[in-house]
Amino acid sequence: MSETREQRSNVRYRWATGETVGAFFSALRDSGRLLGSVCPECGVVACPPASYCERCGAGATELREVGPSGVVMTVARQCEGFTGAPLEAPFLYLLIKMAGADTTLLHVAKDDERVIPGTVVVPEYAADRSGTIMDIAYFRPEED
Amino acid sequence: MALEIARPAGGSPVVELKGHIDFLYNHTLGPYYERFFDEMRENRRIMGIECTGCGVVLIPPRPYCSFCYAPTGDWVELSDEGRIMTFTRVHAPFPGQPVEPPYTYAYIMLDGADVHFPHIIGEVDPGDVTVGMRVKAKWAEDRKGTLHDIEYFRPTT
Repeated sequence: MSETREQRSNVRYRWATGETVGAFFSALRDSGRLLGSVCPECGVVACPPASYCERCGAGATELREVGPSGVVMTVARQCEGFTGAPLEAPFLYLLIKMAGADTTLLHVAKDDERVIPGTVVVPEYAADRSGTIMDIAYFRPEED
Repeated sequence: MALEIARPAGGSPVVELKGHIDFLYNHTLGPYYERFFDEMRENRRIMGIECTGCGVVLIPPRPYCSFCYAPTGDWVELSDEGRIMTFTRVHAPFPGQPVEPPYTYAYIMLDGADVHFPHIIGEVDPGDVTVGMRVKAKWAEDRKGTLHDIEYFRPTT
């Protein structure tokens, strides 16, 4: 076997949200509401919001509340844990189309056979919200 | 056009997210780096490798030539002396630095090699470092098989 050397990557950084995503996280933190951006040209509602429409490129002029429920569009099961994982493995990664939105939001759910494409889910908020996507701890089936 | 943002009473608006990436990992050296570092640690020797196609001597050793892509062949012992090709003075701190700034960082062409070797320059006033200056490795007493087995290169004159 070949020799190895222990190495480390340790980087701290600050990511500027910009106006649109900043407003999204502010609303999530302060009131638990999810905002989408409304395209003035084609009418697409994007959640998470974007400064420019991903379909037609027009600049967004309005933010609108979406959710709180959403429909699961796709599911991936994460079987192995890893550093910085949002939940204890196994857990689910979801793309969720929030009610009133036309695009999908990436989030997580606890491992649950009922969570499949088409399942309606709602957010379970974190105890302390600080203005990040993890202010929603995970999504759970609405029927619970 | 300004965004119409309904901002409920709360803290100051979110303008940034804080990120932190920190992970430890084991880098497998492979046969070329393993022998390269073993020779430095055990024998204070800097080894290069010769290209079977164009004949250049490469450091650090590697399986294929970076110039003509032919396989490399014979291992070649290089001198631990050479000359400075270019250099800079590093003042800013950043993660992973080998020593505290300020320090001088140089590309050194070791005698017998055809590509430069990057390392730190020591024992000289920064203002006195010149391109073409002859330097020699200052070997560390406690060698672990890393590039820091050479503490720095220092002028020979």
